[in-house]
Amino acid sequence: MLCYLQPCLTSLGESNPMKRLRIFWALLSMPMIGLVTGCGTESPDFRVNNVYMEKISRELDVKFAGQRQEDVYTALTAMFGTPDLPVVTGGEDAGVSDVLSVENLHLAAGPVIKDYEAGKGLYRQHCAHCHGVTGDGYGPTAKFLNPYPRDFRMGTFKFKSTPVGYRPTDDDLTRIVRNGINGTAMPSFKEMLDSGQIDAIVDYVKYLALRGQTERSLISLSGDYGYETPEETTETQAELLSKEVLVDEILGAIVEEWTSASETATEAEGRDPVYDFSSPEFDQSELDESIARGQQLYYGAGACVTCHGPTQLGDGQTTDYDNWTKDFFGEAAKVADAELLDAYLTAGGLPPRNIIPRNLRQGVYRGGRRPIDIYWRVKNGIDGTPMPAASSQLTDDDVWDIVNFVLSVPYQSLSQPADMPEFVRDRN
Amino acid sequence: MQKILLTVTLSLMLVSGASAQKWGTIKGRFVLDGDAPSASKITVTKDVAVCGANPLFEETLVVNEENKGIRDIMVYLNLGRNDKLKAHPDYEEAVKKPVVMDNVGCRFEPHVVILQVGQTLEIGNKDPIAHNAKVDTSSNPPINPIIQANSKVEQVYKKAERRPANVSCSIHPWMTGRVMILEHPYSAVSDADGNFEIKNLPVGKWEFQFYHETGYVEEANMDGKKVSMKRGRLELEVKEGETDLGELLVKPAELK
Ligand code: HEC
Ligand code: HEC
Repeated sequence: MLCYLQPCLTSLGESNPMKRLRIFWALLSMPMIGLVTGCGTESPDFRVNNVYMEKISRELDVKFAGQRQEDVYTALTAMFGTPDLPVVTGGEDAGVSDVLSVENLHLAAGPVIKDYEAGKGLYRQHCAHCHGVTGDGYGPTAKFLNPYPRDFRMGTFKFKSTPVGYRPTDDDLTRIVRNGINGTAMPSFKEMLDSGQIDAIVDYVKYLALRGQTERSLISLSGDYGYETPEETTETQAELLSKEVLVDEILGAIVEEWTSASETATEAEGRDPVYDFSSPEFDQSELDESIARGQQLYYGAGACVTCHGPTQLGDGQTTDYDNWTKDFFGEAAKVADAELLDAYLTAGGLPPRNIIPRNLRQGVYRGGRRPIDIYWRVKNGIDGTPMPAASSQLTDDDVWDIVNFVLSVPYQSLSQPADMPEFVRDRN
Repeated sequence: MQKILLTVTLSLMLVSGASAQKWGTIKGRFVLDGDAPSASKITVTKDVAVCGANPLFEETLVVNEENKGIRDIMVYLNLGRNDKLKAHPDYEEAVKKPVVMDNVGCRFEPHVVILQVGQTLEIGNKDPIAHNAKVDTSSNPPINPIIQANSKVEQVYKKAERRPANVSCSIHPWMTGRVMILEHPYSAVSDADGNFEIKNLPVGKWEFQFYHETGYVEEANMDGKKVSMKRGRLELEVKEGETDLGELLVKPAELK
């Protein structure tokens, strides 16, 4: 089937947008195109999101076999192409050029061709064995890693400057790829890749996220349509596979989230230099007072103690799961449901693991160790995880006090109980 | 003179507009067609002094022991892509009032809320301890703020959700709820006796959606007749005045 689709997709590389769209809609109206399953070529395909289909089919009592699934994936392939030939059809209309450059995609995509086309196939060379060709966090090494590699398909990222629920900025993603994620398997690439290559890979990560989000949206929407009779099927296809729905409604909304990301970034002036060792204005007693205030907030209005524990060992709340797991189960408690768990694993979900609040005594910060990184984590929370955003009643100064306290914890000895206030519940 | 004329014409138009549109109310009661399940008690593991003060129960399916009324079934108008709707003027005020969901006694009260695009969701905390409210919407950015003791957070939603979103508290993992966001005001959540009522709908045929935390309600027995509702949808005729659907009997298997 892929062979059948391939020429069409190549012609989607057509630069005239109108012509391209026309080809796209013609492609969509072809009843014959089946699922992309490859045909003799070695090229890997994108993996189907079975876990999400299983979730929606349970929730809505629909089956994702047959025409329903075929329609979702025909549309998705027409919109996003294949791992060797990425496209974003309808992207012009949806404003995708503000999010990524298709040229960059071609640098990052495709098989690894080392000798004669150096610098191509970057994603498959450097990222796919962990994050998977699909960006589903299901590469061959994934199940041996803890934490698991990120699944990009929800568009959710943890370590960024934007609040929970908003997409990361280019700077955020670039920082992660350059520096890696301390204390996890995610390596740093700043020695290996030049900045142009990192830009290309960051665009490719965004492409995989756009594709994954679109896939989820399509599956979810499809669940509300009927396929019971031929008439119903025709009606469903006419509506679901229309440009209005696919491009204007689904892709447009997703692209909009990404283009507005940088506007939503949390502005911060940076830490007051009196707290900064390397500044001439540094003042130890000011810092000590700030740390003491931060400690009060840790146990009080910040509510950090409930999860990170009275001695900051990260042992306050250890039974929860992250959003990638809870997306399927809904609630943490349901992971214990054997039948549900079995369905999840059968669909290809990675075995659920509890998400553990960070042990703050170790001084290993995954999202970066600069004060501003910790500030973002505390102020905004950590997206995709239970770690909440600080209460809106805390001022910026309060948050910096907490940051100073957090950064001081690894240097305090555990046997300093005199400094530890009584377990105060809340300030008010 | 011209001004007066204009006002007169305008008010005439308004009056005739209002009298042309007829409005109707729909109501009914969800009743479990079988034995009410016994409520299962939650073992409180966190902040026991506050959360363990009163017994807490699972609230996925809540059935009234006396009259078998089913709580927390959402009923709302399901607009097709091309449906145009002009809401009754009474609703203009309603959208300005916040919809409140409180953290109280380490549960969400109410367990299920529906609000309109543009309306404020106010999540309050009446407990003497901190909670957080993780609202995992899909069409709107999800939120997860800490809510200090005796305070509240407010959130306004810009888009309608396709389906209800989970609400949870990560500090107290048993705490769950649901929130739905619609682009119109025509919705209801069944109360502790299973009753629901949607007022002032434009008269005519409309499709309604029936949703319970366990999924769409796809079958009910109305007036002794089995009614199947594909994907939880049912077309109903809204007549002027009141349309009482009576009891809608739902089998326990529908709510699993
Ligand atoms: C050896 C395995 C491995 C390789 C190779 C790898 N990653 Fe990762 N990556 C991870 C893990 C594990 C995480 C999750 C860490 C966490 O959740 O704290 C991650 C997380 C990420 C994130 C999410 C950051 C966030 O804020 O949520 C991005 C983006 C990312 N990786 C991009 C890449 C790119 C691009 C490449 C290739 C250039 C790559 N990774 C290569 C293991 C890997
Ligand atoms: C509801 C539970 C919860 C609460 C409350 C909470 N955290 Fe966390 N925190 C977590 C979890 C879970 C993680 C690990 C997230 C991850 O990386 O996957 C975390 C991670 C962190 C990290 C590590 C960031 C990094 O880059 O590695 C810091 C620092 C932190 N929390 C500080 C705080 C502070 C300070 C507070 C109070 C203002 C707080 N947390 C409140 C659950 C919580």
